[in-house]
Formats: sequence, C-alpha cells, structure tokens
Amino acid sequence: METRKRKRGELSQQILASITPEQRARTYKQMAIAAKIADALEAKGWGKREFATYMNQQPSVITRWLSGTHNFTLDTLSDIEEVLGRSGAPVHLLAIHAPDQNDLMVNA
Amino acid sequence: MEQHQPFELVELDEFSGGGASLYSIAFGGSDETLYDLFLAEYNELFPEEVNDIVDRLYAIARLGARPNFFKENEGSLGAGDGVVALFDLPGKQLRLYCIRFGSVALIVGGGGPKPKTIRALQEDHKLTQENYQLRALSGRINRAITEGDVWWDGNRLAGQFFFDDEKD
Repeated sequence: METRKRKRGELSQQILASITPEQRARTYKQMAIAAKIADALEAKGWGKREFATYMNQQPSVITRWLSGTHNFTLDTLSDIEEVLGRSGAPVHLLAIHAPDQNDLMVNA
Repeated sequence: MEQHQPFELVELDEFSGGGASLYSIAFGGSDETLYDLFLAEYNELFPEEVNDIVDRLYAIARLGARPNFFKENEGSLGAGDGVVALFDLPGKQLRLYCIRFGSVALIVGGGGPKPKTIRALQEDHKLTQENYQLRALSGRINRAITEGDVWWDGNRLAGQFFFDDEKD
C-alpha cells in the first residue's frame, strides 16, 4: 500500500540537508562502530557484564559505547580490538566507510 | 477493548535505507505525523539535539534499528510492546520515543525534554503523555500484525495502514 505524502516532512528534509557531510559521517561511524562491537559480543556469546570485566570498565560504560553516542578515542578502540580479537577472528573497528552522501534523498 | 482515534502509519521516506524502514503516525488524516510535530515543537528550542536525532535516524535507516541504539523497556512493564527511547547524547535531555519491530522497522513517535532532575518519566506530564500514547498505539499495531492486517514485505511493513476502530 502506498503511504500518503507528508506536508511537514519538509522540515525533516531541511534538517537532514543542513547536516554537513562530515558530521553525518562522524555520526554514522560512531553508530557503525557500536554495531560492530555488538555483533562481536553476540558472536562470542559475551554479555555486557562479561565484556565490562575484560575491559576493566563498569557495565554502564559498555552500554554507552554500544549506544552509538560515544566519541571513542583511538586508545579505547585499540583496547577493544585487542580484547575482542583475543580468541577468534580479529575485529577491525576503524575499517568503516560512511555511505555515499549522494544517497541522501533531500528532495524525496 | 481500548478505542483509538483514527490514525495512519506514514512512511518517513526521506530515511530510505537498506537497514530499517522508518514510519510515524498521523492522527485523523492530518498531514503532520508525531515525528513532524516533535521536530516543529523542539527545533528552535533544542536545535543541536534535534539535528543529532535526525542524524541518528538517518544512520539507523542504514544500520538497522539495533536494540543497543535504544533504551529498552520504556513501555508497559513486561508487555513486550517494543516502546523504546533513542539514546540521547551525554549531557543532553531531549527524549524521543519509538516502537521497534525487530531491527527492520521503527515507528518514530513523540517525546520531549527529560530534565536531569527527574528519574522516572511519570514525573513529567508531557513525557508521560507521549510515552503512554505510544504504548497504546503499539498495542493496536501489534494486534493488526497478529490478525494479519499488517505484515512484512522484506524490511517494510505492508497491508492496512489506516486504523479506524469505529469502522473495523
């Protein structure tokens, strides 16, 4: 079923268009890194609490890392890669490419 | 059975992506969805936070509505109604409620500022109203899925998007 067009969708599109490509790439990468960590934890069967123990962190810190809102330092990313890669395939958190900026449908 | 005013599921097609399909809800044939009303209400008061929320929704449309991107269990206790809140940036207070249907569909509702001085959403009238409204809508949409009026077509919802309990 075709959904109706929204008149006020214009504001959403205006806001999307006002976000710089650099900002959009930063946000996307923060969230993609969080997704990669979550996938790695699931593959290993590790819960947040177990991962927190390995990382010497509180579980609330892990929740923040996984939320996609955390601005990781290189040191932290390196530490996470080391822990996640200890007994299994290496995890590369920095090998993430933001989607092509041209796919943003600002005039949809 | 709880009666709802007529509403429609509206796809937010500006977020077209391969990860999750995003929708919102319009009441009574209105052109404004709950998401549009949220943007209009808070865009001037909290421009940076609103920009960040829109930016995150854009990423979610590509990466999927993964559970770790949301505060879960924001709905009725034990109801499994899928009502969640998008994680806000540290130190920020604008809260947006959504309904997750797995990682492939997200219904974006409304929200408002949650002052750091309160812990439970019930301490704030506006947040309570927005959250409870979404709980009720989630129940109605889930019933439509159970009854086969709404179904999955890939990562998109399909079927009957207009809900009018008086006509049903």
